[in-house]
Amino acid sequence: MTKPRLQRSLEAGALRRHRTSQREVADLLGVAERDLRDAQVTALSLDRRFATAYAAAHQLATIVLAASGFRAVAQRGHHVVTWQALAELMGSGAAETAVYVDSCRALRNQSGYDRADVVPAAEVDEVLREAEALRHQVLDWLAREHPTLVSRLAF
Amino acid sequence: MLEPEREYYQRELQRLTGAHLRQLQRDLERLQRSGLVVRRVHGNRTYYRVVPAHPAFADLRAAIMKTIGLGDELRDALADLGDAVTLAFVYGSLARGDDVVGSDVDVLIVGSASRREVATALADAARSSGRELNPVIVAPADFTARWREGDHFISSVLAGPRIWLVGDEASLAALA
Repeated sequence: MTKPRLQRSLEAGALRRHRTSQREVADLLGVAERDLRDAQVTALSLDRRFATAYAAAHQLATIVLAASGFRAVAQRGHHVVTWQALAELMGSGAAETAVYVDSCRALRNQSGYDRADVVPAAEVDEVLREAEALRHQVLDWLAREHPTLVSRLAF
Repeated sequence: MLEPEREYYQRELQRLTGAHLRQLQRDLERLQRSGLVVRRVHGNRTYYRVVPAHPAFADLRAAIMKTIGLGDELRDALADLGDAVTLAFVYGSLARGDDVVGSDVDVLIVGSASRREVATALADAARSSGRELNPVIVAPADFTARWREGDHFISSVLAGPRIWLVGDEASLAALA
């Protein structure tokens, strides 16, 4: 196997094999798109909008894993596993995005549990931009690499 | 010193320091006499561990952080961002010296850099330290406004100790 981190995650039990379906991909995409819309609601706190846009990015990465035949096992650190897998599955174009969203994870944790009003407005704009760009990237990737999973989706 | 709860066995220390065994053993003996290091024998292995309760521990560690430790790596990484970082420091448990193995490294960055730029610049330091880096990035004008308003996050960060990475107390005062 040419993807050492994926292999290690599988061996460590952090990833497992998974068979997806058109239905699952469409559902996950629906969740991501709902979160992207919700994250733009300016009546919400910046902390909440940031966390929601991050959640959208996480759903999008989950689609890439599922389409590639993997699922992160729900346990401590499973978001890290997802970002590492995303970088390997989508190639160098997604590697920097994976580093970026992984960095968001720490801020989301802090704003979600430790302190209120941590997230500045500029960070919300940035994560929304990044999550939206990731959505386009993932849709392009699906159409290219797994056309049978998206044939019913509207492009 | 940077991971005070971690135990090292002799061969591991030899590999990490590149020292000759005899020299290493002499140094470890001296450190044990000073009370800064304790040893524990388990089976046929001898483990060494630093003693965080030692009176010199906090100062020695701060000195390492400020010079050759993680601080240096973070400093170099942030220097790559140039003017986009006005000031930056480590706060939280690592700056206070009460962190445990695997504690996040909290970094406050005041500047115009985006999270993507910061995350990319810090990626290698995060990997090599094995620590989770948690940068909070605030634009300079936003920082000043929040500081003046008595914002809870900014005041609690500023109330604690810090290890400077970019800038110093004078650059902080200039933002008041």
